[in-house]
Amino acid sequence: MLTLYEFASDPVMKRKAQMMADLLFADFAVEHLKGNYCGGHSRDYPDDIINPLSAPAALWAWLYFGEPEFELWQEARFRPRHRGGWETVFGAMSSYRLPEIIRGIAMDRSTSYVHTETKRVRNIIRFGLEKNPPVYKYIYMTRHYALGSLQGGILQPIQQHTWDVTFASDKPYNTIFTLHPFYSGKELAMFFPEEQKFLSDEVDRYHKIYTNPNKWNSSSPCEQTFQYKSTILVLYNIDKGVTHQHIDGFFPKNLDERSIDPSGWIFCRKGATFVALYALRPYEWIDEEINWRWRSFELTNCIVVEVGSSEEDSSFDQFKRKIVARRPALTDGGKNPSVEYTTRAGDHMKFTFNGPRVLNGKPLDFADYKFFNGPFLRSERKSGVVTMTYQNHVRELDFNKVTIKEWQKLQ
Amino acid sequence: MAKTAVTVFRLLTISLGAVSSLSMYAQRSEDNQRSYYAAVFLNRGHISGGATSNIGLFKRIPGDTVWSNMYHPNLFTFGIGFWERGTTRRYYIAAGNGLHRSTDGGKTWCVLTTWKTEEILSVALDPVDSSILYVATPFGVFKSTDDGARWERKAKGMKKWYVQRIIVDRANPQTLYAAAEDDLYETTDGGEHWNQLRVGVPGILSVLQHPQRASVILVGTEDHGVQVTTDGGQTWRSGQDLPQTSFYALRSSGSGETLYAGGYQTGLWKSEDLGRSWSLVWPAPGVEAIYSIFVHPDDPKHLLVGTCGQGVYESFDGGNSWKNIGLQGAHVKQIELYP
Repeated sequence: MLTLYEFASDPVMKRKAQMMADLLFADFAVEHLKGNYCGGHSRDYPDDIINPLSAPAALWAWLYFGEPEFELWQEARFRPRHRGGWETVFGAMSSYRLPEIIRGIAMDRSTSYVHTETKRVRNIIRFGLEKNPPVYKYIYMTRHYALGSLQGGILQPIQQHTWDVTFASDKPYNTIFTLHPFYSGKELAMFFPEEQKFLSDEVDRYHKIYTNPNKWNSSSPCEQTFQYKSTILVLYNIDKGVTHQHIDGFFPKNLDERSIDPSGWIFCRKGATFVALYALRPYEWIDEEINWRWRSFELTNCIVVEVGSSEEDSSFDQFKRKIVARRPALTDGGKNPSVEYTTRAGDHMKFTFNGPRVLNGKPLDFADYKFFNGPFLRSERKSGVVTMTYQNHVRELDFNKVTIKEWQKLQ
Repeated sequence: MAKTAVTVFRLLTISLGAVSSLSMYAQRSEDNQRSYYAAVFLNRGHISGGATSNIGLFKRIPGDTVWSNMYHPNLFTFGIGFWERGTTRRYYIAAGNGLHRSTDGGKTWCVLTTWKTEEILSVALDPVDSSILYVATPFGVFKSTDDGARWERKAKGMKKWYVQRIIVDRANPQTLYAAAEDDLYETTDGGEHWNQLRVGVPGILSVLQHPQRASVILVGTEDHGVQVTTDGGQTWRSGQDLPQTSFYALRSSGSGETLYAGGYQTGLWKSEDLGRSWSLVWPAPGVEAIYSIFVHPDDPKHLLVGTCGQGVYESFDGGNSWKNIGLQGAHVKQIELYP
């Protein structure tokens, strides 16, 4: 897009390229925390998923937002496992300049916020009765952490990251998440026009990790999420014969604290961020080089995660006290398990696999999701108009009229 | 009477010199002027942007040992087509980024399709009217009546649009068969309306019309072997003795006396009773899948088999002995013999 902006001789095309670049950076900015691209997204590589500061996104953040500190990024990237990042040369060479309002959106974390999005998916080519439904993204952003997830749907079959909590940290491996390491030739054949019987092998040939049971990226139809602010319920419902037959979780070893309470809650602290995770079915720990791998062979399971911080809960002990007596309830319900949980803030969440997400008695309707909806970025679906707001500054991209407007709101 | 008319028409199309199939070349003898053309892609090359030598249209002169890259369309290459009349020769490549055409023997190429018509899985050419082209795509059949300048989607009557293969009945160019995700479809009005032929199993991957008996049609399926009709699609039966797995490749000898089939870990099979019963010609050890089969029009014992990843194999004795003749690592989707 930056190259198009740079070299388009048609002024309308040049303007469109500028608007698209604005949109892409604004989309990134609302999910950005200290150089990290947070929450569910695609495409991403396993090494970058477990170490977000090593991802190419961090370099774009450095170039345009000024975070992370270059030394931090350099430290993260020059570890044995790292990938690319050369693409940012196009940014460095371009005459495109990021609007100051987008930089403000990316950097200002003085107030916590919820931001939601409706994302397009790649259409099913084969084996789909209908086109893929959209993906509904949800992120809860704070000064200390971000909790984000994809509420159903598949963004990308090979390199999806469905949910995580990311800490604002100057250390690598600043994330916790779980996943079902799924792969299937049939799923791939929905996206690639080739034969499903050996598509898994084909993809595995150049993405060496695809069929690996220990991979850290996956889009699985056996995993669904329901998030409300700093709480997420992750339901797993794995059919027999599906590859693979387990669930994994990533817990970095450089956490400041990790303990397992007799109640069953796993408590973790990294700096000022607190994480509590409860699994409703048995699991085990595997000791690996840079992380503990949480693994459950239960085909039906549910993970409940609450995230807090010193700002929200005053202390880690206080956070634990609020959580420890809480017990999620899992109902097998035949083919579709169901879970109920009341958060430490008193919100009641009920979630059924392939069924409704109910918050405080009211079912969530994804039809209400907008293209973008949050304090910084808003757009109605199919409107063609995106509005950015930061403090009293407003920037409006109108893709119908191919116009950019900026103004200041009266205080 | 009708059969006589069809035969006359077939002979007429041959005399006009409009060709889109190797069976036409049975009329020719100047083998030294013809070459094998293979539509090839290597998945790894496309994805990584690295090794690209095994993508595109490859050419090999009979008796030679080298395949030379004739054109690189920069994306998956699924099929090829050829049209000739007098001194006019047109080569077509069905590729992931559109339908490509060369009118100067492969020196230069242009993409005929637009953004809306991508992932061309197969091309079918009207044997009489050179301006009429059909392509099969994941989004249905598209037709051009002006040699690719404009395209129109033709999906009326189709319940599913993923079409892997399209062929034209050379005796009646208004009749085409489309191998779709859910069934085999037939049109008798040049694609304006499609009728389901109710094969009875889903996932049609390949289709072959008998060169002499138009009512004999074979389809290769995703999980149910080869299905055969001898009455133009009114009734279907499963090819006996064949493994119930994916069959990507079907081919006939020029006379139609022998039919060949190959697929996912199947080896090469043949039938000499119009697809009723089958026997294993070659187990194809080490070959993951057979993607394409070629039978020499002048010598039915001369066979070529294109594979998934193991290149091309050649046999001169009807399949008793085989030799790998190159394109190792490539997916060879179609092999033809063209001038």
